Amino acid sequence: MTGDSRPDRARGPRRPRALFDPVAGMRAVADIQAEGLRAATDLLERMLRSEPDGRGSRERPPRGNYAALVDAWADLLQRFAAGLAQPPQPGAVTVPVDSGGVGPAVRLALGETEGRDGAVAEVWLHNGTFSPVGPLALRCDQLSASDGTVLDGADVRFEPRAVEVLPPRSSRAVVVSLATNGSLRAGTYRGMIQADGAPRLWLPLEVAIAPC
Amino acid sequence: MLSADGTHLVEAYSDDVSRLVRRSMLDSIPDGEPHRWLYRVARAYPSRPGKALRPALCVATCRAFGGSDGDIVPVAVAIELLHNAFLVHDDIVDGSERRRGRPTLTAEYGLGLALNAGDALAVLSNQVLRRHAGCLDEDLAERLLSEFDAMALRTLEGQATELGWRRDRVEELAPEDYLDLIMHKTCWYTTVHPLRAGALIGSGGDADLRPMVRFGFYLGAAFQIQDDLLNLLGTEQEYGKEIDGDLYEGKRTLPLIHLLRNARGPDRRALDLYLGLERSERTPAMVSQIRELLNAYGSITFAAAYGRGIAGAALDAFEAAFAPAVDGPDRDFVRALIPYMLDRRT
Repeated sequence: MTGDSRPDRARGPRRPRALFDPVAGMRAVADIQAEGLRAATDLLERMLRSEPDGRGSRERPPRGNYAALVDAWADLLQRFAAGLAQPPQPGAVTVPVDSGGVGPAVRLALGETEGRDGAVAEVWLHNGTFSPVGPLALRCDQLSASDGTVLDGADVRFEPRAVEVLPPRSSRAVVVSLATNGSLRAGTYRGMIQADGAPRLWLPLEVAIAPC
Repeated sequence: MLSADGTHLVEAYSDDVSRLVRRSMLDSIPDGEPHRWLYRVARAYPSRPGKALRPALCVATCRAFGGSDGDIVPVAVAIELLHNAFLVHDDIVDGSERRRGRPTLTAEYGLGLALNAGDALAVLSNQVLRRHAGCLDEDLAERLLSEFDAMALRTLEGQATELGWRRDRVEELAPEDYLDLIMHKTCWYTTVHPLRAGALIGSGGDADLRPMVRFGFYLGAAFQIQDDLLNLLGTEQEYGKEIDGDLYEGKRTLPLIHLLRNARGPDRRALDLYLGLERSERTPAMVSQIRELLNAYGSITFAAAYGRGIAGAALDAFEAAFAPAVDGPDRDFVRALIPYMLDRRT
């Protein structure tokens, strides 16, 4: 036998909850698709390593390339579903914590009419694995404009500051907001959100500040 | 989703090859005595129209790699004869009653004659292949025979594993174990070997056969998972076999493995009790109860999504495997098989 043959008995409730939530349903399907693809590819790689070359074999790409391609495929599946399954509220993005590559952009817009502290967005951290993940703490160091101007007088805040444990197959929202002290120069500023505890996760953050 | 054009392409192409191969297959089965107890029995399954997926894949690949029908049809016939031999033996082992919409050989002729006819089909398959190999370049012939023998053994290894799981009530299984099983039991002879044999013969031995393993596995796994689902969800008229047959047999299909990993408490006890019974002791009410559990635990949804994830990679694998092939209807047919495997109802 191969693979992880641990039963799922210890992993959750007696019967799985019905997936009435289309967002959760979409995420779950994408996770299963990615799981199937990864398992199939692992098996293939093991088998091909043990196979003698056919005499007709000619040039082949390095073995690692295909695994990377499949990883990209699996990520794409999850991201595609996550993109389709965005929660209805504007400014919310979903990101699998175990996937590499750039995640969807988080956007904050500070307009003239709303208070400077009013803009918020949500990042839904999704753990599609069978193991708990955590603690996780999102951070964003610096925001700058395309001409290199750094946005001073504003801090990106995350609520909660840290997610202690993200259980297997679950999602958790983190609210992203901008704390300001004083006036801000209008413009579009960008930075990078990273997560202490999820080294492969990174998301672009864009803050648009309208003139007063 | 498969378009109507895609379905038509696959079915029309398979029908053409099926006719070609069926004729050659029946020609290769002797018709002397004991006709009534051997050759008529052996002809029964090959005479029934089937999907002819394996020969169609083999012939299309050979053509796409530059070969002619004369080079490949005997190979496709050998594959299909062996497939028919496996079907006869599978039906005996599983105690099945219907095959391709009609009674199984066991149901019609009894176990002894059915078993013997299955053996005959396996012998004839080898005979057809070795006779054809004698007409090929020596090196190519040796490679073809070696491929065929390896495929047959892999299939038997997979079959033995599945039967062993049931005999010894192996229940601690993961989806990865299932994939390993179907790689041996189904994929090698359904997709991987037909692709490799077609490319080998079509290219005169020049083609790189390793990419065919990737493509064949993704395609074959999608085929088998859909087969598991059709056995639960299809209609007997379309599927040609008895619905819920896998459940009656306690076959470790992907939905059942998911259920085994997730069922709790009384549900798990009911499942254990069910799997501890012989097939003849399992009643329609018990099967309905297991069906209900498969629904309640999302096992069918899981299997469908798992299969789609694997099939998603088949397209890239196809492009890599068929990069040296000639554009045209043969290549188009193989490509169209990818969505067809997921959406087929038969």
